[in-house]
Parts: sequence; structure tokens; C-alpha cells
Amino acid sequence: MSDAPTAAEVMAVAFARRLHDGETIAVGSVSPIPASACLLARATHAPGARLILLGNPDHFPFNGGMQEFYNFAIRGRIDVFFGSGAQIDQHGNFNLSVIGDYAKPKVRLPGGRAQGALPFVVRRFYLFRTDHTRRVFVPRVDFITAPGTSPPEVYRPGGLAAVVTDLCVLELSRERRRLELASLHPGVSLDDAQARTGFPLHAPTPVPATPSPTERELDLLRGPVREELEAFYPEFVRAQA
Amino acid sequence: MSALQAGVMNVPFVPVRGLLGTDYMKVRPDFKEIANPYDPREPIAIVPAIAPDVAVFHGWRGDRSGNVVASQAADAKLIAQASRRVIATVEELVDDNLAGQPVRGALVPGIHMTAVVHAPRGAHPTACHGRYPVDRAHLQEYIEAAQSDATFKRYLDRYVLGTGDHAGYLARVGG
Repeated sequence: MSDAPTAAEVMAVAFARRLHDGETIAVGSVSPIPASACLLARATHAPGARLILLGNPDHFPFNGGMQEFYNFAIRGRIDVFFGSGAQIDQHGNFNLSVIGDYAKPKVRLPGGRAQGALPFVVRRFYLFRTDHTRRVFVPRVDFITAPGTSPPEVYRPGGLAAVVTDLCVLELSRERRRLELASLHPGVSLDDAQARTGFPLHAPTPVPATPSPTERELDLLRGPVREELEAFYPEFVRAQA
Repeated sequence: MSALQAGVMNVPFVPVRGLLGTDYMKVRPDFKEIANPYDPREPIAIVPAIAPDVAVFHGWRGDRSGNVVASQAADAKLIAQASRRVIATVEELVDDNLAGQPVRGALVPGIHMTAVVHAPRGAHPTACHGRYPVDRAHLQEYIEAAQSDATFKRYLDRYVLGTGDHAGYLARVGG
């Protein structure tokens, strides 16, 4: 038996199972958990998935710079993109721009204009957080970098699909314009998750459990996936060791 | 990026996807929502072109005709075309003409360039892909210095104003 899965491994598996064979998947330059998920999916059920790892020339299939990638995304050619929200609210609005007042911010975050466009055009946009807290999951974000949903007349072929954290998976309901609890990770209770969320969690009864990683998934994550990841995120891999 | 593309094309603005419903539309009065003139049912955002007076970027190699090879990720060719004057700093200057060679990276043709400057480790304290990584200790020092005007002035005196030239800077940062 392998050691019990870590929260990062549960998250990677939750993401991996949402990726499909043949999809084009893009991962940002500071997204080691989504990157592990992509490599894991490719080693299991999605051998034909195409990976774009921004910032890594070995996994960047363009020769016209970020502009070519950006335009490719705008044309709707990216099936899946992963981002991290500094704040996420109950309507699926997320903030990757600024904490506090925009003109006099407490923290200026790296989110730029691309984050105001990619969540509109990427088919499925996923957010991840390794620290599910009330500081992150707020009733209302300080700044809407991208809205959870848009009126029907706005061009929006894609959008937020789900948020995966160290506690649970939240999925966006477009009809109800809100995030809803889809599953709790093994060992996490609804009360735990609610206590660390700054808005009411809408959950089915009983709440499904996030699938536990299989032995094979854990072996892959701890072996070949980790080796491939090390070249790209050496500090993340060291911290996991 | 779209705004730079508009600068490259010398048009005053460009319609862009996304943005509608974001707070960028509130804090940037120059971002506007219009009706698509060709399909008025569709609202769309427009942003003004960006056409910088001067662009500065760092590349791997430059030659005597002003051709520069830089990382793809820098979008140097886009920036160079959008800007009126373009300065590239490079890790090395070479005698061979880079234009006729197969390159790994992005070739920015010399026709766009105003000046090419030989500046080894010129990207420091940020990374130059394939040459050197980010200097995390220095960035941390910068972040701490940036907390107040007084500490930032000390940073500037130590690393910028008080170093004389690039060689002096490299000596100061332990290059």
C-alpha cells in the first residue's frame, strides 16, 4: 500500500478526471497541481491530450510568442485552462487583480488583461486553491477580474467550470448563477468546508465524496509525473518531498 | 496584447473579446462598450491602441545589422513593431548575420531596431531563459525595499544611481 494521498494529490486526481482524451489543455507558469493533473491524465485515460505549459519552451507549440497563444485561445481553440483566484465569490466571480481599493491597493496581483478574456473563451476554465479559507472564498470579491456568468448577448462560448481546493470541488451552476458544492475530499466534513467558506455552501444530500486516488494514480504521480514535473517546477517538487 | 496589435496596425482602437462585466470596465474609462456595428445585438468592448514612444527588451543575441534573437515569451517582435524607438539589450553580440540562420526563439528583424546594446546578464534580477534563473534573493531585497520611499531610495542609490555603469551594477550584485 502506498502512503495516504496528500491534498495536492487528491486535487491533481480531481482535475485529471475532468480532462478528456484529445483535448487541448493550457497550464500557467505557476500551476504545478494542474500540470501534474495534465501529465497524469496523459499517462492514463487521455494519451492524445495536447499540453501547453506556458513558460516552458519544450511544451509551447507556437513560434509567434504569447501573442500567437493568446489569439489561439481567443478563437476558442483551448479546451481547458487553469487559473488561481486570490478571491472567489458565491457567484463564481473571481479576483486576480487587486486586494483592497484599485487606486490604493493593499496587494497588487499579477492578473492582467488576459485574465479578463481567457475565462470568456476557454471552453472550461478551472480555478484551484491549496488554501481554502474565508480570506479566499468571500461573499463579494474586491474586484471582478472575470465574472462567473454573463448575460446571453455577450460573446462567451466558454467560462468557469469548477473550483478545486484542498477541501472540496465546487461547480458553477449557470442557471442558478452560483457555485455549488460538488464533492468533499476524503476526511473533510460539510461543517469543516462551511466554516472555511465566507458564503453559504449549497450542497446535495448526501454530499458526494471526491474520488480517492487509485494505487496506479498515486504511483504515476509519485514516479513519472513527478520526474517530468521536476524540470518545470523544481521548487514545488522539492517541497512535496 | 490586442492593444499593441492595434499599435502595430496604426489604428486608434481595437474591439476585444471578454472584458464586459469585469471591473476593468469601471477602473479604465478608456475601455468602452459599444454595439458591434455589423451586428448591433452584440455588445463588445473596445480598447485604445498602445503605441509606445520607446520600447526596451532583452534578447539572447544581436548582430551588426540590428537583428535580435529573443525568447518567444517576450513578444519582442510585436512590441518592436508597435513602438517608435526600439532598444534591445543582448547577452552577446555576434558577427554573423542572424537573419539568414535558423533560430530557436523569436527573430526581431533589424529594420525595426533603433539600437542594440551589449549587456551580459542584462535581465538581472529577472531570468534570461536558458542563460540564468531568477535571482530570488535580490527580488526579495527589492520587494522589501519597495515598502517605503526611504528604503526604496536606499535601494536605488545602492544598485542604480551609485553603480556608475552596467559593469558596476554586476560587480555590486555579485556578477
